[in-house]
Amino acid sequence: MLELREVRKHFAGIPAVDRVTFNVHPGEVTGYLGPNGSGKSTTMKMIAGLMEPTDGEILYRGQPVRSDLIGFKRVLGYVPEEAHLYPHLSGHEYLTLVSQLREIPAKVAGEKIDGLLRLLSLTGDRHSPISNYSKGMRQKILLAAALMHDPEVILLDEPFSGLDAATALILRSLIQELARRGKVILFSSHELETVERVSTRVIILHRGKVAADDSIASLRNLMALPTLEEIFVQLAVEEDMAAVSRGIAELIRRQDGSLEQGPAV
Amino acid sequence: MNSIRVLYRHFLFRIVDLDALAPLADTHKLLGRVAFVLVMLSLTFVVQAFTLGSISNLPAQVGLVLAWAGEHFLIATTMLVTGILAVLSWDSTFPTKRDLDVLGPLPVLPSAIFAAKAAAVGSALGLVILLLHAIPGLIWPAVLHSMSKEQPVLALTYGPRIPVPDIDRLKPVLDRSLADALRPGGALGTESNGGLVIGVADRGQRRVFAYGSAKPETIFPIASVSKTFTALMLARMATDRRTSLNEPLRALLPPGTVARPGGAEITLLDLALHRSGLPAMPDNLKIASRDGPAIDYGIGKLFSFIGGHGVSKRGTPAFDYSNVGYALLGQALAQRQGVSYEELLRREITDPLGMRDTGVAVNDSNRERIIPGRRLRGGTAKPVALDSLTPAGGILSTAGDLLNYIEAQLKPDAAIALSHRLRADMAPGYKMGLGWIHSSAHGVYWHNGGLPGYSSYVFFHPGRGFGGVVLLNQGPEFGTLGDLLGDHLRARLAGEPAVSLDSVTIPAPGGFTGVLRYAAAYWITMICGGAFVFFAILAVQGLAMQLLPWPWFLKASSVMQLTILCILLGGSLLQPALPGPHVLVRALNEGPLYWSPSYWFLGVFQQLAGSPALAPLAWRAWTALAAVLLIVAVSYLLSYWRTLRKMAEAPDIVPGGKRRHWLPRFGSPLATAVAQFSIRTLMRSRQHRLILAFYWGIAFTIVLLVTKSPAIQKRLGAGDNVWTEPNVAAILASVLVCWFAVLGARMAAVLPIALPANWIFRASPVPGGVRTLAAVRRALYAMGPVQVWLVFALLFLSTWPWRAAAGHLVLLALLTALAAEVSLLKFGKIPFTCSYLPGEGRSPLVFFVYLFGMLYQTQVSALHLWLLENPVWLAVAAGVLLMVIAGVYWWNRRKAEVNVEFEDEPQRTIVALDLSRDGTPLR
Repeated sequence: MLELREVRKHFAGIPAVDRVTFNVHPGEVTGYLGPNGSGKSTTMKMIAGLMEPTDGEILYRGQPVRSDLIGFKRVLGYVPEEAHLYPHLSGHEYLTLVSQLREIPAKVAGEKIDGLLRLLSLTGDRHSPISNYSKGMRQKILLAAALMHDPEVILLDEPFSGLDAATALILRSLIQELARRGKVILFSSHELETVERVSTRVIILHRGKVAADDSIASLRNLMALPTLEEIFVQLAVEEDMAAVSRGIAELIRRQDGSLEQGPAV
Repeated sequence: MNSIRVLYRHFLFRIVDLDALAPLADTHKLLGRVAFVLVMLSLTFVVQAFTLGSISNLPAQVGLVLAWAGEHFLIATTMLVTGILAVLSWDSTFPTKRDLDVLGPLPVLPSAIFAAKAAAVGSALGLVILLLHAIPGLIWPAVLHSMSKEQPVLALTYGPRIPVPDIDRLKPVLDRSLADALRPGGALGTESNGGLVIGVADRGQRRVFAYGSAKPETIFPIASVSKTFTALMLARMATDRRTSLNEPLRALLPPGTVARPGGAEITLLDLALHRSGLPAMPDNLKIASRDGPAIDYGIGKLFSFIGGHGVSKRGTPAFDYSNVGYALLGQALAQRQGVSYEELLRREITDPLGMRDTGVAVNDSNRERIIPGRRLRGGTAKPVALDSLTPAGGILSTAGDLLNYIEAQLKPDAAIALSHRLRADMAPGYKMGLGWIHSSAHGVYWHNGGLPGYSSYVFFHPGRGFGGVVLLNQGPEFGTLGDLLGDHLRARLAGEPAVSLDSVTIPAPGGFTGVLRYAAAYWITMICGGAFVFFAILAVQGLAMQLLPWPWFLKASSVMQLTILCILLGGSLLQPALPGPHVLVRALNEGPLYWSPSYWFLGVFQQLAGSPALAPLAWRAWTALAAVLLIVAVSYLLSYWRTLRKMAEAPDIVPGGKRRHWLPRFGSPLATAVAQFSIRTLMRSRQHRLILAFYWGIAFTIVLLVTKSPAIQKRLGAGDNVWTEPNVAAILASVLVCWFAVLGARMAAVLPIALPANWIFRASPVPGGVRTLAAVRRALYAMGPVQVWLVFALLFLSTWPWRAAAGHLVLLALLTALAAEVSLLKFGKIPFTCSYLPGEGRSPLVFFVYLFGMLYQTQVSALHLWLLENPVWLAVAAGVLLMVIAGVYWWNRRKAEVNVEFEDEPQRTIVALDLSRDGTPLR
C-alpha cells in the first residue's frame, strides 16, 4: 500500500500541497483530480522522488520511501505530466537507456522493447530521433518506459495526453488490467469521463488540500450528483463557468481597447 | 515596422544560441560575462599598445615592421573572434525551421523577418567589434601615429615578365629596375655613399655593373657566403680522402679538446648541413660593439666552447643555422692540414680559381678598395674581423672574383659536384647541399650573407648555365635588400616575373588630423576585417544551403562548422606574426599567405592611413569583401523563397537509418547507459560537437606546430623525423593531444542536452556514489581520450622502436588517466545533464591548470624522453604516476556524492512578495 501522511510542499512559504493524506491500495485504480495548479503533479513528483516534501511522510509497504529511495524507484513506474524526452535519441535508444538504468538484462530488455514498440505501433519509427515524434508518439514512449520493468507502483500523470483514440482505449483497458494484477495505481487526468470509467476511487484536490477521497459511487450518493463531472465542479471549481465563457467571448470581440468593466475571469 | 523592431530584438538575443550555452540561465548575466571576456581581451591589446609605444629610438624601418606586426595582430584577432561568432551563430542567421514554426502562422511578412535578421546580425557583429576595440581603438591609433615616419619602402610586388635579355643588354634592364632605388632618397641610399655591385655570368660571358659609390673592383665582406667556401674545402678534402664527410669533428680537433661521447657524435657533414644541434653562436662570445673592426674570439675560445658543449648528437637534429658549427668545420679542416684557415682558403680555392682579391684579412694592399659599410641607424661600419669565426662569415671578395667562383660552380669538378649533391631538407621548398641552399621552385643554388653595414647574395643555375652576385654596403637590417636584389637578378636571367625594386614613400603622418586619420583607418579596418570573415562564413553556409539538397545540407552543416573552426584556429596560430619583407613578398605574390585575409586587411589599414604601401593587398581585401557580401545577399534572398519552402515541405518525421546505431557495452548496465548516452549526445548534438571541436582544433594546431614549424622544433630540440623516432616534440604533441581530448570531453560534458528530460535519470534507480562515478569515468574515457590514445598507439608502435613506443604508451596512458581523474574532481554529475553558465563552476580553473601543464610539459617532455631510454627509471616514474592517480582516484571515491547532482531547471516557485503596510503584513 502507498500511503501519504500529512504531506506538505511549500514554495517560498506558499503551500502547493497542504497536509495531503491518502492511501492507494494494490489492485485499485485511484483517480487523482484537481484543477490546474491544485498540486496534483507536485504530489506525483514527491512520490516519484523528484521532489522532497517540506513535511509529512510517504510510505510504501509501511516504510518511508526516502529511507530506501533507490529501492522504491526500482518498483516505481512514472509517466510525467509533460513528455520531456531526450530529443537526440531514437525511441529505441531511449527505451534501451531506461532499461539499462533499471538494470534489466539486455536480452530481456531487447525483447520487451521490441514488443512494446510493436504493440504501440512505433516499430516503423523506432530509429527516428524523438525530436521528430508527435506528441502522441512521445506519450507512448513514456508509457513504455514506465511499464517495461513491470513496476508495483504506477504513477500516471495525464497519461492520455496526445494519444489517439485507439491507443487511449488500449491504455484505459491496460490500466484496469494492471490493477487486476495487483498494482498500486495513482492516475491523474483532466478527462473526467475516463477517470470515472477507469477508477475505483477518486481523490479530488483543491488548492493543495484533499477536498474528497472516496469511491465514485459513495461520492455520487453522498453529494446526490449523477456524474463525476458534476461532483468535480461542485468541489473544485469556483468560477461561474458560463460567466467566464461569456467574458472571454466579449473580450476577444472588442476592437477599440476600451474596457469599461472587466470580465469575471 | 513594429514587427521588424520586435523581431529584431528577438533575433539579436538569439544570434548566438544562448540556450546551448546556458539553458534557462539569466540571459543578461550570460551576455554580461561574454562582454567581460571580450573587454579583458581588449585590455591585452591595450597593454601591447603601451609596450610598443614605450620603445623609443627605433630605426624607421624596424619601427614600421613592428607597427605592421601590431596592426596585423589586431586584425587577425578581430577576424578570429568574429569568425568564432559566425560559427556559433551558424543556424541563427538564415531562416530556420523554428522561425517557420513560430512565425509562419503569424501575419508577418517574410521581408520583415529578412530585415530583422539582417539588422540583428549587423548589430551583433558591431557589438562584438565595439567591445573588443572600445579602449584599444582610442590608444592604438595614437601609438601607430607616433611610430609612423616618412620613409621609402619597397613595393615588393612582381613586375611584368620580360624576355631574357642578352648579357650585353642586361645593363639597361637593370638600370631601369634600379632607377627608383637609386634616386636620392631611394632604397639604395646613393646620396649617403650607398654602393652596389652586380656581377653576372651567363653561358661563358660575364659582366660586372657598379652603382652609387661602388666600383667594379670594390671589395666587400661577403659575410655568410663564406660558408660555401668552407664547405667546398670540405668537399675537396673529402674527394681526395684527406677526410671524409662522416668523419667525427672530434677526430680533427687537437687531442683533448673534447671528450668522446657515449653515443652518436657530430660529424663534418652534420656541421656542413647545419644539423649538428649546435647553437647559432657560441655562448662564450661577448661582442662589446658590433661596430668594432674585430672581435676577440681566438681559436682557443672556440675549442673551449666545443669542449664544454661536447660533440654528442641526439637523434637526428633538425636544420638549425649555426655559425659556430661552420667556424668549427673550417678550423677543424685547417687543423687537419696543419695550416691556418686563411692558408687553407688560398690553397684550396682562391689560388686554383684565380681569385686574387679574395681573402680574410684587411691589409694595406686592399684597404683602399674596401667600401665602408652603411648602418641602418646612420653612420659607417668597417668590415668586422671575425677571428676564429672567419670560416662562417669572414671572407672579403669582389664581384669579379665571385664570378670566377660561380663559373667554377657552373663547370664543376668532382669536389664542386660533391658539394652540389642535395643531402637534406632545410625548409619547405629548400634543400641543403654542402654549404649551398637549393631552391626547388627556381632550380638555383644560392647563399646570402649579412654583416653590420653589408649584404651579399650569390646564386647559380647549373642547368641553365647562369649565375650572379650582388654586393652592397647596406644591411642586413635594411629589409633584406640584398636578397631581393639577388632574386630580382635571378628572375631576370630566368625570364620570370621579378620582384619590383621600386619603392613607394610613406608620407609623414601629419599632426592631429593624422591621428584622426589613423583612428578612422583603425576602426574601418577592424569593422571591415571582422565583417569579411563573418560574411565569408555565412557565404559558405548560404552557398551550401542553395547548392545541396536540404537533407545533405543538414548533414554537411556540422562538418563545415567544425572545418571552419579548425581553419580559423589553425590559420590564426600558424601564419607568420612579423610582416617583414620576406613575409610580405609571399603575401603579395604567391603561396598560402597570398590567401591570408588578415594580410589583405593589413593593406586596407595602410591604404586608409594614407600609405601607398601594400596597395595590392588592399585591393584584394575590397574585392573579397564585395564578393562575400554579394554572395551572402543573394543566398540570403534565395533562402527566403527557396529554403523556407524546402523546410515547409520536409516531412515531419525523417526516417531513421535502417542500420542499428550499435555501440559497445561498457561494463555494468549503468556504465553502459551513461557511456552510450554520452557518446550519442556528442555524436548528435551540434553544440557539443562544437565545443569538442574547439579543443580538438587546438590539439590539431599543436600537432601542426610540432610537425611543421621549424621554429617550434628548434625550440624543442626535436629532429626532422618527429613521428619516426622518439623525440621531445612527438612526446609533447601526443601528451597534449590526449590532455586536450580529456579537457574537450570534460568541457562538453558540463553542457546539458535537454534539462527537462533529466527526470528519467532521477526517477530511475541510479545509485549515485562510486558506482555512478565509475560509470561517468568510463563515459569520459569513451568520449575521445581512448580513441586518441589508440591512434597514437598505432602510430608509435609502427614507427618507433617497440621498446620506446611501449614505454611512451604506458606513460601516455597514465598521464591521460591522471588528467581524466583530475577532471572528475567534484564532478558528481552525469554528463550532459547539468545546467551550465560560462564563468561558473570550475571550468576556467581546469582550463588554466591545463594551460600551466602545457607549458610545464616542454620541460618534462625532455625527462619523459630520457625515461624511455632508461627502463628502470621508466618503471619508477610509472609507479609514481600510478600512485598519484591512485591518490586522486581514492579522493574522488571518498568524495563521491551519494546522490547524483542535477542542477535541474529551477522549480516554478511562487515568490512571496512580503508586502506590508506600516509594518503590518497584508493578509
